[in-house]
Amino acid sequence: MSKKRMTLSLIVLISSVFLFVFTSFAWFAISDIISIGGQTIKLADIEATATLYVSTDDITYYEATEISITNSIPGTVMYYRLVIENTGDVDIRSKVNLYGFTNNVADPLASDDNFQSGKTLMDIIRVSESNDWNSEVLDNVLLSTLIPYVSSGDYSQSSATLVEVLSLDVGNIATVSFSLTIDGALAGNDYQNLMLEIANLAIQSIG
Amino acid sequence: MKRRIILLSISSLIFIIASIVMLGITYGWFSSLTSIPNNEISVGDLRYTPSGELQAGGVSYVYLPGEELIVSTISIDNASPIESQLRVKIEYTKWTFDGTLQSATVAYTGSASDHIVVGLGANLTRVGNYYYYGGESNVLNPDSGVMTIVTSLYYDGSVATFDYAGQAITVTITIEVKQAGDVTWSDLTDYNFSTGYPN
Repeated sequence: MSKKRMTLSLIVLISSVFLFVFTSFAWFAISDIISIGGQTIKLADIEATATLYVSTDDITYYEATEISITNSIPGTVMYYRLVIENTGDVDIRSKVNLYGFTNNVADPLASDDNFQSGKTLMDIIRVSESNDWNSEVLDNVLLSTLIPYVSSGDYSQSSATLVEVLSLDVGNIATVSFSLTIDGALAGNDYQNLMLEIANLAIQSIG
Repeated sequence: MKRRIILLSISSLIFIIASIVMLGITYGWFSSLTSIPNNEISVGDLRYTPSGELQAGGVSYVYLPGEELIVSTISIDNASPIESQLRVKIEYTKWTFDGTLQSATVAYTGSASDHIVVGLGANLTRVGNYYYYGGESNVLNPDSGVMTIVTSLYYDGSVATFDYAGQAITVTITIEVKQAGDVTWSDLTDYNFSTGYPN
């Protein structure tokens, strides 16, 4: 009898906790403010906007919606600027990374020999990064060295960090400059017709 | 009593775990993710289609100096989606008599000492043993179309003397291409002609 009561008690306890979690989530999700007994609590609004710019010469930049380097040749360099603004109402810490890598052939109608032999553009793309907010830099490092090794070869859940921490007060704007280079010394004809898809250029912010 | 303590411990443990889960979810509320999706980086590829033909030759083929070896003009169609470069090397067997009869495989350079006459495409410029299309550093635009390489090739009867009588010869036209930039050259195709003295 005691065992049965204890089991029921546990079930009720667990259910209560989850009920509390879900109702709180729903409450927080649809509210900007919470009023408890006359006290008004404004919920924290963590929000950062990011705008991407691209350039071929590091002089003239244009707004871009994505990183897109197609039909490149060894030596190709593309320059990017990512402008991040804290548009929320609390100070935030932001992290910038490239997330989700998938190797593929650039043109399925052309030869896929290089793809089948296991070549990946991660081994010939060099990344440089600097920003106007802190001293974090990447100096022409291979993209593959920024990504933890995955034995299965599936890098779709992997990420490469460009900036570890940007501490932004409300209204602050930081500019992250980075470049992607197809290393001419490493990229021979054995890297032709390869493509690297990157699922997201992600900016994660916490309050 | 002991049993109660165990059950109480289990209960407490579950409560703590649930609290941690709740904390984790709450932490999730106070974060934000901004993402720029669908990014891609690709390297193009070379797409050249050679055409043209040399005489078939063969060990029983009897070649006479002055005879045209090009059956149809050798040309290349560039349909590459990227910038690229092209060069050509023509090598042939050169027989000379300097006390003893000797042969060597030499590259055609368009000099007076050459024993063959070659009609080259107008845009080929020699640097060393190679003829570069448009010059050594010239970069071909993507999908630049058809390029004439060799229109005519034959041994010059005025310099290919009696030394050649009864000797075998070989002519090789090697066409190399590469992506523009700092990349090593690789063979696109070879055109070969050879004879042997008929038995």
